[in-house]
Amino acid sequence: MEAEVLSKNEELLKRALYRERQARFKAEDILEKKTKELYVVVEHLKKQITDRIEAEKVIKRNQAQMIQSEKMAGLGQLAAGVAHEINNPVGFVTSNLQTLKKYSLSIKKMISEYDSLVSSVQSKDIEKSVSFLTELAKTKEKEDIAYILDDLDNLVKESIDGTNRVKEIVKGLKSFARLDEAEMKEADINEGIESTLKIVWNEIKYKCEVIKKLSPLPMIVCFPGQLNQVFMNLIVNAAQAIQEKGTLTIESFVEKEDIVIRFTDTGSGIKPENLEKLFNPFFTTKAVGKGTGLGLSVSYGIIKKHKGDIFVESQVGVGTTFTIKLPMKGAAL
Amino acid sequence: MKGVIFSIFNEMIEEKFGLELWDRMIEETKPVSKGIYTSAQSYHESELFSYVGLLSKETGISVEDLVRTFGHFTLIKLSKLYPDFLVKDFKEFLKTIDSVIHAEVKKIYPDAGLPSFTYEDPAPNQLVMIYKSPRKLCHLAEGLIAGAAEHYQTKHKLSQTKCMHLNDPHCRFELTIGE
Repeated sequence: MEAEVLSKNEELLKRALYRERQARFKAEDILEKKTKELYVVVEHLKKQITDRIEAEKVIKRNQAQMIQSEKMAGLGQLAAGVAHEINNPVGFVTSNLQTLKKYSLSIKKMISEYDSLVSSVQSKDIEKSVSFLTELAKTKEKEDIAYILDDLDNLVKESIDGTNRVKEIVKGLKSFARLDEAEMKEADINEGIESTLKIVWNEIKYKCEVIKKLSPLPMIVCFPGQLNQVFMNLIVNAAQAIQEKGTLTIESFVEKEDIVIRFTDTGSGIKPENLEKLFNPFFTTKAVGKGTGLGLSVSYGIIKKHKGDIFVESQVGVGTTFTIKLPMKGAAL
Repeated sequence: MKGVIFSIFNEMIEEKFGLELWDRMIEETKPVSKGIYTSAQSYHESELFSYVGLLSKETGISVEDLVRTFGHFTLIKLSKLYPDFLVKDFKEFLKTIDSVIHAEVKKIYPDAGLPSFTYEDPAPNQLVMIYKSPRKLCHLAEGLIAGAAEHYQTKHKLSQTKCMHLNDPHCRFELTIGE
């Protein structure tokens, strides 16, 4: 009887154990399946992340290319202006040099006759001396030496001025074209504004009277070339906004912790609905082919990179003011 | 219905009535699962209802009372398996069932068919729980609430003012907590 109970209990336990074992197998099976599923999901996620990183790289590359092309467009615009600026003085200096070459022939002739006179005087040949003297007076008359002497100073002064102008332009270009300097360095914002003005002068001089109100500024650590690019954008935009004649006022001053640079034009102004789109890439109201629509968005990027701010206020028919604020401290990236 | 409920049911039967009865229940009700349950899988709730039906016949205890007892037993078991979900007090715990506990269950078992609870909180010592489930297991919910009250050693009075078994759209538990 007892043995029967024991055997029955054993049977029960065996069955219970069997069920438990089956449940465990099933659980392990599920675990394995879930692990595989998880692996697939993780792999999928990894791939998504890699794809995303790749896509971001492409976007960054494209952005860099766009910024580069905007820079190139800006440089192209510049090159045309600068070519004109240089061509003009080079033209009149060349013409002056040609005149000077002619003058030098006349002067050489005079001196050669003078030399002949001197040697005849030294040899005490009165007759010859008188003849040379007459010749000399005739040549002086014929070559218009009086005029040459008078003009000489002008030509030289003009030529020196011309070459100085070329020198100034080249100096401005050099300072402006710090565009690709990769490192931040200390720079004077006012100097940047001045050199930029020199570069774009040809483009704006017929339309804009430029009023400069530049207060002395402390040096700040920045990418000077990039800031100059921003200034050029704003100055050229201002000139383009002016229909016939107007003024562009450029101010710079220190306000609290910031350097403030303000460009105010008396141009046509910006419509309110366009104001908020102004810094968007590719937004332009200029005719096709006239603007890339990148200038202000690139400018915005540059100012943000300097931890600064750029604002715009505008009234249609009155004009536009762009204000840039650059922190004196903390511009370092 | 999730396997963990069946495993706990199995444990309750073994603990309260012995292995022999559990073995017989499987033998007689012939569940598709053959009485082999893992918490990661779902099984048809009819298996549980068959067990309870048989148990009621065997013991003479009503199905409702058995389900209630099972709810009570289940909560005590679950509180040992998942102690982190037992927040500071009884009322707070009841309020987390829908938003925290069921949300966690969904994370592990996205296919779990869970009841829904909505709440009314008319006074600090009162709570109204509105239960909706196609399985109509309000007695189980009642047992679970009783189990929770025991865990928190909190006295409560529960009156069910609406019941899906009486063709109401939902079951309504009105609780008064404390003495």
